Amino acid sequence: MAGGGVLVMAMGGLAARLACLQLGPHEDIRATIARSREIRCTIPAARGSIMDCRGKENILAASVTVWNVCASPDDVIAEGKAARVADALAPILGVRPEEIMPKLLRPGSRYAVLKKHVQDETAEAVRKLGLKGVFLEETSIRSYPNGASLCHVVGFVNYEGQGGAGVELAFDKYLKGMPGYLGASVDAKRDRLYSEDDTFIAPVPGADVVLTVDQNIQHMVERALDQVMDEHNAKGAWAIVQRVRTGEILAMASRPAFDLNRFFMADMNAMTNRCIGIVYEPGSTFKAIAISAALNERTVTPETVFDCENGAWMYNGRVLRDYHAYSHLNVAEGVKKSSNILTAKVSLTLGAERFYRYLKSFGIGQRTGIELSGEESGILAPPEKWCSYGITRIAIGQGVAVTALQLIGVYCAIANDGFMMRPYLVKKVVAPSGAVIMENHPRVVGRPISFQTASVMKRLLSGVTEEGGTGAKASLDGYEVAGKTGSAQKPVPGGYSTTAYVASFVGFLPCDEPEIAIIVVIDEPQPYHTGGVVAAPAFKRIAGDIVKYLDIPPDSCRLASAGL
Amino acid sequence: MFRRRNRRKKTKVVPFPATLAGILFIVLMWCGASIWIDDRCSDLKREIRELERQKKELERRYNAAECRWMRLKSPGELEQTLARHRVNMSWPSGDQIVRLSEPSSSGAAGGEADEEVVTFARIERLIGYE
Repeated sequence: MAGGGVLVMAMGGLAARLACLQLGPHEDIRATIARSREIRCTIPAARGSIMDCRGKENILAASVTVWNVCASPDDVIAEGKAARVADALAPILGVRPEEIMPKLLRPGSRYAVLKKHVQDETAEAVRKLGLKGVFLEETSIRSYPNGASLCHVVGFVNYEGQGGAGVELAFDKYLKGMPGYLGASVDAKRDRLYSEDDTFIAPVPGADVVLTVDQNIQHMVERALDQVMDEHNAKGAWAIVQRVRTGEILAMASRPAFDLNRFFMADMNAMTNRCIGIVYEPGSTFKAIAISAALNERTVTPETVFDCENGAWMYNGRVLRDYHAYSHLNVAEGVKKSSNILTAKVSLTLGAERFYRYLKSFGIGQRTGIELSGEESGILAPPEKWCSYGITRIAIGQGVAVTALQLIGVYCAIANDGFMMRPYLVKKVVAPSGAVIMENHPRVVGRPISFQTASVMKRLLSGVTEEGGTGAKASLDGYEVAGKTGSAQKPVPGGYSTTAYVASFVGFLPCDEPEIAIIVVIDEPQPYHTGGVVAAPAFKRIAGDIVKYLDIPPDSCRLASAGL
Repeated sequence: MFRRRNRRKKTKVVPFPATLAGILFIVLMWCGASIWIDDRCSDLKREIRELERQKKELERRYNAAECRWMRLKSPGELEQTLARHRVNMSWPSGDQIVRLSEPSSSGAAGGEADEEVVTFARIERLIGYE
């Protein structure tokens, strides 16, 4: 009886307490309980991929799921098996047991990362061990299958998942997609309870970015640059390959480079995209502008003869010298032999204002607007700031600074019958559904010279790679190459260095129906420093591979039919 | 004398209302159906979760395999693989290239049946190119 009474009283007390909790003024407790039964989380969106011109066939950047091998030190210590766990994991993770032990011997800690970003095989091997207190954490990283190739163009994603450089940065808003949202209830086991009141917004995966770059052409260019760096002990080298008619960039390479999968180990020197981020005095490669302008204005013709002063010319109190002494040359010969004095005199026929107008119309001193960040505009002072002999120096590529992209644009305009095309790297952006969100098309941005002037310039520039020209080492069997060498002294305080040069060659081929233009720039090659010796052979190597890869037929061939 | 017991016992029957029976039956059926549906939903929930997990796993493995494949067929990796197996590949020289072109359509229809000409292509060999 007494026992029964106690039981009844206990049950009654519990019932009263339950009623009090449910019905009484305990909003905060009820709210806490309700919150503990809800889940609200953002659902991360998958980041889009970056591909070369062939699309999904060649993926340059993609997100992959990897694993972090983690442990609960408290549980491992409780088992008393820290040493055994370390010994078992060490060979699988590729580390020494002594490196794992300190992470396990942390009493009071329930979370420690033993190794980050391991692949499926390693994760599976860890899972099979079945070690108590050791678990795997799924995570996502950005993978760059080509490593250091195209590193300056593709760029990388930082630890917050945001684009940090290159296309990853410039097109981050397309690549990152939109995260989703989930608001739902869960049961005691934290399993979701599906209900009509749930809020679910599906994540929108990021779009894919398709570049104009061809990874095979990129590899040919990088291989040539690596060879030049080795052969000539250069500080840096960079090159661009561009389609003349459309402005598409087929390759953009810069050395030194860095592995995108280990971007955190790269220094600023390696991370700089020299094709757009470094300005340099172009030297003789700049002469094409003065010559084109003068021909276009008809102040000279290819046959106009100039006195080359036997290699030393005094003008407005300063001496201008030629590399070799010439007495008289016509314009065609002056281009072929790269006479500074002839080019300076040609520029004087134009006058400062007209010459400056042509420089601007060729895009000098202005950004091209290519999609990558960090593009320099170059240095071009207005005529009122030129000194008395300034025009003669600018005409030969001194006192002015350009990027390689600006300079190749000049030669593409000459090759493209005078039409200057906007250079671009991104062909299109495609949503996961297949819809094209953004697409680039060739665009004319100016016409600095006429068709006739362009035709004459092509002829003059093709002479540079003939026998006796400064760029003879750039000639390619079966193809007529038009181009110009450059060997520019680097400016130092008080003047120009006598030991540090920038050697370059820029050209296009085939001369009559140009398809591609290539620029190669080498920074401080040693011991040889002229464009004809250092840069021209690299141009030939690159061009030789590309014409075969793109199946550009040779200029001179005769066809004969053969019956079967 | 004994009286014969009346074997036909008269049992007192309390009539159960049919309406109540019907209601109870419906309620029981309703409860049974609810329990069955709830059980089925739980099964479906488990199945959906399992399928989603499998889908996620397959996507993950596909992406990883695709990345691995891209790395293996990158130009640098291919070059190293060829070098490792001592396979030297080079572009063909000019005289090794034979260019084919389509025959012109004007002479093709019937009039030149005597010629033994391959009608799908005519071989043109490059000469004068070394």
